[in-house]
Amino acid sequence: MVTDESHPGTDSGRPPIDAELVRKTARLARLEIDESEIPQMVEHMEKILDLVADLGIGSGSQSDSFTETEGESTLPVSEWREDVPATEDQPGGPRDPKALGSNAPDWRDGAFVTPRVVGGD
Amino acid sequence: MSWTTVVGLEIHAQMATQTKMFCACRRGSSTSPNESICPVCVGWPGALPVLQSEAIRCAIRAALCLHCDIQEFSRFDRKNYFYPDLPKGYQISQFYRPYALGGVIPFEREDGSPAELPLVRIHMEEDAGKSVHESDGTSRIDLNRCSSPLLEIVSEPLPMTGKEAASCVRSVRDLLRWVGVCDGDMEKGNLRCDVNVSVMPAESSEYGTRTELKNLNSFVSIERSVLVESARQIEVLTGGGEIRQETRLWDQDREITESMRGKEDSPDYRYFPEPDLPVVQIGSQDVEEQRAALPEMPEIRLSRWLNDYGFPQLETVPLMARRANGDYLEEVIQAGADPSSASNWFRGEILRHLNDRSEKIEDFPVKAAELAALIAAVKEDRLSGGRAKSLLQEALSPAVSLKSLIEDAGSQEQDSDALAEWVDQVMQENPDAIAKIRAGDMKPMGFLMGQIMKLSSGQAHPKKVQELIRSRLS
Amino acid sequence: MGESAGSGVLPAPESTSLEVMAHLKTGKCTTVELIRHYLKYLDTTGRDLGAAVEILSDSALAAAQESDARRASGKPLGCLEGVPFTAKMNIATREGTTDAASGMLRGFVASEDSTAVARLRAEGAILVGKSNCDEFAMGASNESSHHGVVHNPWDRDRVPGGSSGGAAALAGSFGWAFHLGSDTGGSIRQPAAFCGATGMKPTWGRVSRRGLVAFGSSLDQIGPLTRDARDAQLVLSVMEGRDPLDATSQSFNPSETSSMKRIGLVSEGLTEAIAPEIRQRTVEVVEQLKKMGHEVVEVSLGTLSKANACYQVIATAEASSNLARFDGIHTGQRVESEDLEELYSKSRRQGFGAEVRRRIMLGTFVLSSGYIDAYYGKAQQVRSEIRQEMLSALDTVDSLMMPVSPFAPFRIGERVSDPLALYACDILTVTANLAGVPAVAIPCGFDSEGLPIGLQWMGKHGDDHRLLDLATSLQDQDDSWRGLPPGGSQ
Repeated sequence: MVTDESHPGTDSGRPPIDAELVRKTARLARLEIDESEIPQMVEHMEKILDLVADLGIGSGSQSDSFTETEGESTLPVSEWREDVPATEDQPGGPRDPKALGSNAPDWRDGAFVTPRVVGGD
Repeated sequence: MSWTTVVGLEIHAQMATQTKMFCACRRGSSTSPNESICPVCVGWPGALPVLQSEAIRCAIRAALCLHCDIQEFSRFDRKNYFYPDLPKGYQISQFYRPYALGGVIPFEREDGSPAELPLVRIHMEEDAGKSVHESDGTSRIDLNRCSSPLLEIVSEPLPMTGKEAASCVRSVRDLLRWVGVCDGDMEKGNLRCDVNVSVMPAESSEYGTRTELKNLNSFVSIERSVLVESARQIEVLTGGGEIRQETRLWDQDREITESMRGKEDSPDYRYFPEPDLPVVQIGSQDVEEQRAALPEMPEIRLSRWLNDYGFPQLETVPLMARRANGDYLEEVIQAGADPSSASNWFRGEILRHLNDRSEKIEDFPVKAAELAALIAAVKEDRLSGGRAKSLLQEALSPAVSLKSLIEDAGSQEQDSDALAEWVDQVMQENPDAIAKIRAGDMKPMGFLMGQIMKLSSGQAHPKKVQELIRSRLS
Repeated sequence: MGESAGSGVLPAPESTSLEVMAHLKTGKCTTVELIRHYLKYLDTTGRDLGAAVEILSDSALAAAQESDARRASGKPLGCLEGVPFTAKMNIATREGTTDAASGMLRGFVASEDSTAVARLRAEGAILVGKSNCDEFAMGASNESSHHGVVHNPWDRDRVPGGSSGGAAALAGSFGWAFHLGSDTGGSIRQPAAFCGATGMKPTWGRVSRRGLVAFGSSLDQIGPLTRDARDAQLVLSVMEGRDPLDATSQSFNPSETSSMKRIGLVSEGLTEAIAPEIRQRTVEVVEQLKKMGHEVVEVSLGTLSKANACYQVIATAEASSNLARFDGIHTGQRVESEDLEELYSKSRRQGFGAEVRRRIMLGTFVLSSGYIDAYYGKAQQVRSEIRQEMLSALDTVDSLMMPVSPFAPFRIGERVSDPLALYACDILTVTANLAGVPAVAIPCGFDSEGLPIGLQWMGKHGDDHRLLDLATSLQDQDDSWRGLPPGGSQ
């Protein structure tokens, strides 16, 4: 029997979880992960994804899940918020920038401070 | 070998609403950093986005004037990425179910022929904040712009030149301004453009690998960057190299495009439906309301002006530049002024005044009806042209009503002692001319008129001056 | 108790909020006396249990004084006048901090009330403290809070359930007050069942989520933990309804006005996987319902077996996005670095606990390129099947009943090392969240070790008050829920 090397697969149909996949996911989530923590994370993700395999992973196309809107709650145009600025004393109104900055780790001269931002999006 | 450049556009237009897209903070009027922010646009835990209706209405108007199919149901999705100007860690956008599909941007080819750039879609999304780089190695984050309402207009790729690409963006800018959706000031950043560029051999029909040039903020940079980037690609390809699909930055000063460093992973935005916002339903009634609210579109107005008013084509250029200019002119004409005089007054006196002060017609203190009355007074010879112009100048200072100025001036001139004095003075100073006229030679009449007008600083009414001279001589 | 430090006579410890209001009305004690005593309870038993993490004495006593003054001057009183309440650490309040029990949000001052809290205060309820919970409400045992573990008042070596473990321990150990929790996959009902309290998860959208630190937005609901269903009824009626600051909030009407006659017993809730004593108790309650004139039929929910898997994907996916805002720049703790990417990943590594990091990892994975269709997309598809099946079942019966937890409260530390053992707690509760329907859990007696057993009833969207009526009629038949744990009130 020949195994497809690119998709070694498992009985449950879940993709193989390896250290590189964990590192890649951690990078995407901006979570530092120590090399020593990786084996346990691999094990936990394997276990949970095996549980999740009950869903019938990989069977059929799920693209409708993203485009289907039937059965979801909808709001017509007129029921959305009116375009009127709120005042500071109203719930949902603007707040004193100082108060909003007070929970930020580094707030100086009325701005959030970060290490130099490279590039842009 | 000859090459064809293919361009696709992603135009971001900030909608000219009072408040932000998802919170009730004021949009666009801030002077200092983080002046217009609240828990929602700062991304505080527990704060929830609430879409506002005027942004949807603006979006409908934009879709109508770009001839898109407006979708009855559309939904927001989260575009997940980390960036300091994006405090929630995701941007609320429409990915899977945009509100408008298809459509076209009308533009002009370099040879002057009309063309259309087909659109893929338009979607609504929120803007990000701004990072300002400091000399101390830090960046300061200003969230005033964060969560402002944006439209992203995404085109298909189409063979075109840099100049034509700029013309497409200008066309969108003019249309969105015209229908009151976007202020369209590229230098203020409320209209921005990403350009996808690829090249292919002229005989080919298969588009090459594209690169994306981000955040071009002027028509010149669109035109130049397309030119420079396509030249770079052609050079790479003729040298046997390959084009990498990537995002590049346009360096305006050095006129080069540069690969963005430090982005080894291709972005994975993990789009999924935004659970904090219900599906947006745009009914046919909403669409019809906005259609009815659309102003007369530029091509229709232009042809009407050319045909009905007989304006020369060249005269219409300054009048068409902003819809509000034409709206004012129309009001003046509706109030009874003849179109040709109204156009002359507008292009002369009014535009000069506005340009001198960098003001807009909306700031012009004289009402259209008053200007029409002034024009009528001249037409009916109750006022001289010069006098009328100086009255208009007086009316431009606040708290002076042109209407009362016209009335005063009219009554003044009818029994004007001043006029008689000017006439008498000039007649006394020019006995030779008087003698000639008495002898039946009317030629010096023009000279006398000129002297009197000069003495009166243009205020004297020529017809009355003539009458007065005749009565003195008879 | 009975006597207070002042001159007034205090209500009995097990009194419900409604009984407390009746007591205050008679003038036997003042609101200040009542609140002062309750604050003392929070500071002693509440802290010993690990349940009360912030006690807001100054603002609570000031509010009590105002309430007494209103009453004395004959001014209009609120429908929760003078009743003390607590809010879970993930629900924003003007006073105190709102840290979601996470080191990441240590010291976070929300400085304004969530809509639910504001509405309760407007009706005279008095916020007395903040309750402990699992970090970002992720857990079923209240062992992941940076404020420490919470103990079950019925057996202090055992967990109170979670994530609203603090609220449940308070509600289970002493009367008078009501407690706000949040329920994403059972976080109100499961701890209520473990601690002998009544817990209500409203229809999704019924109570504004504004001011609730989001975990899984499409699943989260704020709800009350109380002594009985009457209190829950009252509290819910004050909190519920459309809030302009939560676009997903709605005012719901019941599907019909009549009481719930036909009850469906979910057969999948009585399998071998459920502890025998809990199954036994369920059968007994069914008999009681029949005696009360209800018709009880067995109903199968085939999708129940997929619900937990579906929940793990959707809840973690949404959580991975909801928790992205804690980036060490706008909110959250920061580990300084000159490199932005390093600042992000180190701050988030340090700020979040192990369970939260695990869920962010899983949620990021199921949304990532190449996997999103197979996982998140598939889960959404299954979610819609679950919802469909639930609604079809509720077309044949008024309410569906089953146990809340497959097992009794377990020992502290017993399930911490294996995430799957912890996730097994949710198998019977997540279905209501996935379908968005209301569910009420009420205490229904005790097992042989004296630990509370809770059962739950689910109804159609909007049938929250009908469910609470049903729960009330059951509680009127059997008042074993009134008993407080020995020593719990000390």
